Amino acid sequence: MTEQQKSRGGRARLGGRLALLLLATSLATTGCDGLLDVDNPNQLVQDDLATPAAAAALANGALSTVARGFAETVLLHGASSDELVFTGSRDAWIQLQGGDLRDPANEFSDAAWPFIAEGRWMADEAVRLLSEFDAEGNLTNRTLLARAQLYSAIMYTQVADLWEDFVLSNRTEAGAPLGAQGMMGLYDQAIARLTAGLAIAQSSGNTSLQATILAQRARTRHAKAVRAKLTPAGTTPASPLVSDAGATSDAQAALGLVSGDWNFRFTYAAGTIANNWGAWVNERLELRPSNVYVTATADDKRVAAISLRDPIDNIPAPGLAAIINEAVVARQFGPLTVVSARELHLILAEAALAGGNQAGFTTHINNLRALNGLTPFSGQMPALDLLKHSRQANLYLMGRRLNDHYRFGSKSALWNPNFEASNRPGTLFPIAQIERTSNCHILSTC
Amino acid sequence: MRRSVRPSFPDSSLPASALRSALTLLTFLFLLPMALHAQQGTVTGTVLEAGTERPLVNAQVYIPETTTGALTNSRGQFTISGVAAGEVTVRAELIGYAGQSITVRVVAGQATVADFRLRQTTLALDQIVVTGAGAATERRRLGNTIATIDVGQLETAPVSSLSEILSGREPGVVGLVGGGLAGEGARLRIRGSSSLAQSNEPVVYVDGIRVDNAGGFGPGVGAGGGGAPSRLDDITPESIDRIEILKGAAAATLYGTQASNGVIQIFTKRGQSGAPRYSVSVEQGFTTYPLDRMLQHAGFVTGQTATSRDVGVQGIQDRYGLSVSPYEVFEVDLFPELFGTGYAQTYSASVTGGTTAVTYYLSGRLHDEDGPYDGSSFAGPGLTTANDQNRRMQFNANVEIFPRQDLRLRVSSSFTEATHEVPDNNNNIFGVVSSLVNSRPEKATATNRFGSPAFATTRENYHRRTNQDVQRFGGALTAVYQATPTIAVDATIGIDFVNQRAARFIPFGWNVDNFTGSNTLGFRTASDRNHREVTLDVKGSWSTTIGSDWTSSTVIGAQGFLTQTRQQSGTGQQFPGPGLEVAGAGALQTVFEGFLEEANAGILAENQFGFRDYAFLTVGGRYDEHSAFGETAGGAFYPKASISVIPSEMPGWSGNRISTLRVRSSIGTSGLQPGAFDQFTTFSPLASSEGPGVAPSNLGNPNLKPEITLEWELGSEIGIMDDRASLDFTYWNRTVSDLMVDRQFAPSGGFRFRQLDNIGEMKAWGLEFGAQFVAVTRPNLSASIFANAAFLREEITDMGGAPPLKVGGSYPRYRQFTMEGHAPGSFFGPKLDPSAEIPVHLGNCQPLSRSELTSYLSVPRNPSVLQPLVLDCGTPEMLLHYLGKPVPDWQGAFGTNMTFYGSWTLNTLFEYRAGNFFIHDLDGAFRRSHVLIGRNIRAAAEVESTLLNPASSPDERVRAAETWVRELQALSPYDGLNEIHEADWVRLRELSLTYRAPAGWADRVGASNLSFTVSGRNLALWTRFPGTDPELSVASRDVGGGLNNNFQDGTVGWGVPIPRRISFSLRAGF
Repeated sequence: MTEQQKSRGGRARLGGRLALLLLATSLATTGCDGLLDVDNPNQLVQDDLATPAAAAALANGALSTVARGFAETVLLHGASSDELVFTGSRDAWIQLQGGDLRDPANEFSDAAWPFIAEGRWMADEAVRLLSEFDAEGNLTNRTLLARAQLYSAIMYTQVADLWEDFVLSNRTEAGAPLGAQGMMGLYDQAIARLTAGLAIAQSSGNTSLQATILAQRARTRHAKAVRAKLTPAGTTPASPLVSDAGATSDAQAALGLVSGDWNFRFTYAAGTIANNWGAWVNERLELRPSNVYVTATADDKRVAAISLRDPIDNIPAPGLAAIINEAVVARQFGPLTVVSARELHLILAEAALAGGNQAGFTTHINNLRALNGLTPFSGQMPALDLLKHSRQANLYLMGRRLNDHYRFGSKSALWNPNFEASNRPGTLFPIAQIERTSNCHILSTC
Repeated sequence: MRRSVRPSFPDSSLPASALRSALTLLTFLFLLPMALHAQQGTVTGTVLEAGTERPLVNAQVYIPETTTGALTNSRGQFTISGVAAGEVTVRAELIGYAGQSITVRVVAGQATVADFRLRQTTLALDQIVVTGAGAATERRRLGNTIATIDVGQLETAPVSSLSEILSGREPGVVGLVGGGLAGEGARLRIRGSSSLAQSNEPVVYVDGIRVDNAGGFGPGVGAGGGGAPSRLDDITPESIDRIEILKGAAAATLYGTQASNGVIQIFTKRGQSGAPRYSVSVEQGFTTYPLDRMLQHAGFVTGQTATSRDVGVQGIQDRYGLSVSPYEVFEVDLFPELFGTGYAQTYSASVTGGTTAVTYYLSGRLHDEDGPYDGSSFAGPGLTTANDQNRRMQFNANVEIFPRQDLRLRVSSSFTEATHEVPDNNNNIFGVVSSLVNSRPEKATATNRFGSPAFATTRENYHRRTNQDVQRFGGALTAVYQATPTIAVDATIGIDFVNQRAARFIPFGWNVDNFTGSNTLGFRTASDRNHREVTLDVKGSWSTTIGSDWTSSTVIGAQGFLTQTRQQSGTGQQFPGPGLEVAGAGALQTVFEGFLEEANAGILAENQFGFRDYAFLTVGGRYDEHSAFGETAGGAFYPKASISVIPSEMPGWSGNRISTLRVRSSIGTSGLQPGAFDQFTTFSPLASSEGPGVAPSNLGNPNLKPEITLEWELGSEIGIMDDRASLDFTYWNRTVSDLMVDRQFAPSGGFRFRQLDNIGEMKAWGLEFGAQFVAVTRPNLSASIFANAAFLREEITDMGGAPPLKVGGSYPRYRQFTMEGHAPGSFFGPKLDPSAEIPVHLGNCQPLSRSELTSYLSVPRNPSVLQPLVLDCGTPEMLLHYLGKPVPDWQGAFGTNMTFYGSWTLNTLFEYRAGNFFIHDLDGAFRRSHVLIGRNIRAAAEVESTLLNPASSPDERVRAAETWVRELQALSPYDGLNEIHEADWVRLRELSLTYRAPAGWADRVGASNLSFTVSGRNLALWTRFPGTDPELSVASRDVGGGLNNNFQDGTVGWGVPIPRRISFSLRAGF
């Protein structure tokens, strides 16, 4: 063998070794499973929630998502009734304040839908998992389950109050639209949830939770009766007043457990969730309380004074003033009242009035008026007008005004006569476009 | 016969922690060759341009098959020392010129002269490219397109960033500028979009190391959509030697997952042996906004005295000194009050030198630009106003060591420190420009200077500040071992580390005009983003001959990438008093922390067969695994093949006037991976008033796999007149299968966010043309012209039954969708009912006859009550009529390069986009239509004035109403109507005139060369687009993918136009 051949052979061997080394490196690089095992500890995965240790997180998650969805409903409702007026740039608010409620593509009703649906699903999921833990004897704090049931009921009630139709889906399994009957069924589901929660609250001796659940059940039962009067939409009911025995019974029971100006509220904070109402009204100045309730500053952007006056004392309605002042001062984080002693008094007063019980009406309405030291009602004005005013002033930002317009035959001055809110009483929000374009039942592609 | 291949090596990097031990080893190694010097001589000479005898700078002169070579200086001179004694072939090459080889006899210890005359050529088939081929390869051997930008030739061009370097140079490579704020980065697109949901940015490598190609400010920080920097602009332009661009999957297969959008590889300059050579440059520039592109403000008053609507006749007299009558439309030019003249300065210096054993290149650069925003006169007491400013200090240090003839080591490093500040901008109610654009001049008062009708005054908005500080280090270590003449191994390891800190600050008491209600007690978010990319790349190549006619080159290798991003931010709001600028001072505080880690590993192999140096066949593939693939998805395999045939080099070729002809074709695949979390069902933390909680986050999809892009292309290069003129064209065709559609499942299922699903398909095809002609080559005049054009046609062919996706979510203003049967990002919105005599209704979609309308308008009416009668009125479908696409059929550039009287050089570059090209003029829609924050241009003000004026006749009002619905009315619920316009444009992008001073001048200042340049950028724009600038976008450079990032470039809103920049520069070499 020549030196040249030796050299060539040596180089070939070297090349072969290098190729082998390269191949080994390649295989080691791709074959090492550990290399691809990355750790991204940012979020919980599904399995993390299927343990009783997650019980509190589930209930609290239900609270936050429902509170967020609730804020969305309050803002939509405020713009569509006469509670708010548009002062900014996003003219889809003009659609709503004009009474054009049936556009599923309205950016605000379309954007609100996922948050509301998320709150509904999360609360149901919390109830499902907490019930499983409870059934297995692993739920050490059963109040968590009762709370989840309360939040679930609140979301069902708010949805049933404000949406013409709704859908209950589960993750990727789309549900069909509920239809008119199904929407009434939402109230029944809410009531069932509240009844189950009440039992837990009673068994645990938690009177505060009992009062809240009873108050919410009164409110849900009353709302169901209101919706029944507005179904089908299109006409103003001849007898708009509601008298529901269950509602009055619950209201009385709840009032027996609380004192004074009690309420149950969702609170919002920088460290939890923001109140969308505050962002749009206080921060962006896109909307403000309308001229029905306030007078505006010179730049037309803010509240200068409360203009809705108590019809008996002729002073700015104090219940309303308290709500607006608190909401404005709190900026993005103002609380939203879900149900209150004031509403319970109003439910009782309305039931009495519906039953022709003037004395009962007077008693209950004066219980309400006493909370602000207002002159007692003694027939200075028609009782129905006082009821309507009292609901308008004391239930501001709670989502009651629109259906009160419908059932009492009143209209927002901002409604366009050609739009549905004005010419079709009972018109509520439609299933949003985002759902319509992604739900196979609606698309008929299932 | 195989052609000689210039040694060219992929580059890489070294972790800082290992630097000391590595340097110790390297010091030992490069001492070894010193003893060899006694057997060596020197080759010296000049390289001139044939015809003009002009010296050619930066020409590569080298000894083939060795690592020995040098670059020419400004006088075209070179010296190669350490050349082995004996007969050697010396070769000179420069992009744009035909290479030339000369054989000389080198005598040990003596200098041998070799002078070159390079002829200009418009084809470069012998050019060596590295990217995409696995190893250094001549372009002629590759069947796929690979573009090369010789950045050294752009020395005098008016470019100050990588974004500007890439803009307009190559057909199919588009820089989407987005906005005109100082330091704003461009998005990059190559052959359109290959993904709906994932990023369409190409992956970028610097010296073999993958680098952060993100943009934006950081978590929780943004200024409204515009002004965001690109991390690619951290790369020092002056340090770049050349850029190679792979335009698609057919070329980028060996880059595997993430390469569907193409690959850009940047090669930084290398050191050249010899005595130290210094170069310095100083550039001073001025920028102005073309205010003629911004329509003046118009308005009218309704009476003598102030009302809630306007300030009345007297108010207009007080504010503007104008005497107007009620309902008389007046115009005022407010924009000059906001903008001044910007100033930019750049200083750079570099030194290169070395020995045969070690070479170095060191450079430093300072770029500082203060844009035309001038808010100093707006500052409130004790407050600072925002500015548009960008400053970068950049350093590069590259060292090459040759410890043995068969071993080369290269250490390259870079460090950048940047600061960037912008005012609030774009589609942002607190933007400085947006508040001015939307102002109603008839509302102006002493405290509301421009008449801002909502949110905040312009003066107040000037106090909102957003800034970013960045430190960035990149380091690479490459080792190339030529084991035998036919076997080589190279390994690269490197890191790119970005430490990015951003802040958004709204001072306490920024409501200096007592107008705004937002965060009046102050707000600050401070955020950090730490991003790390680690690259490990090992390749081996083996070249051999098979018989006398065939060659074979084999490459196998492996690559690994580890990406880690840590993000954290803290927000504080409601400060106790003025002067506080830290988030911790806020009464309300929130924090955010995020962590993202991704791993990608792949092996690759390729073999290239050559036949007689005129026919080449390449086959190869890559197998990839990625941490983001779903559990059931496994790995991904990407195959490729290409063929290149050069008939003009076949025996017996007689192509008459065709001097060069090559035909080529290639096919290949590459991928794009899902996001790190997309496969999992997740719940995110969401605290409640009762304690910590969770909320649904990601639906999850365990079957997720990468999108697969299959692309094939067919092309040719044709040279005539001895390659003085050339035409190259490419047809390409791309199909993206397993397209990840960001599918919206029914939100009633509880999960709000969309979920990626491999259910779609997208197809695209295009043509690319490039033409060059060296028209004149005389001693006193050399002139060449060039033009390129790219045609693009894209279509989403399948979305797997998923609903159309809208850019911008539920925000109805944005009208771009991804919808089957259309190009991604196409516009949809209402169309007027063509059957209506006057397309107007009063809210019930019932048309009005002219007489009914005349009757209705017998009294003054606000335009808002007049609704346009559109097709499908009153239904969601009315918003879904096709209105055009935002990506033009054609885009490209053309220009000239001229040298006259030896010393003067004139370069021009025009860029254009045209053909079925539409852009959404959103701020224009507000100015034409919006009831509160608009109707402030003459046409809108005249219509509103006519309709409201009691003195108008019904017929006048009817005419105004018709103008209103046909030309002006826009926005909700008719978003898109009268908003989307043809947007073809041509822009004079670059113009530069350089004078290269005589040697005597340079000698007087001790320099070896001296030149002066005056240049302009974006000096002129020709377009019919009625908005401010068709190149603007509501959303600028940002990180990641998503619909907004990918397709919002079609929407213009409240940005400042691209500024005109005029610069003067001085360059000297020593």
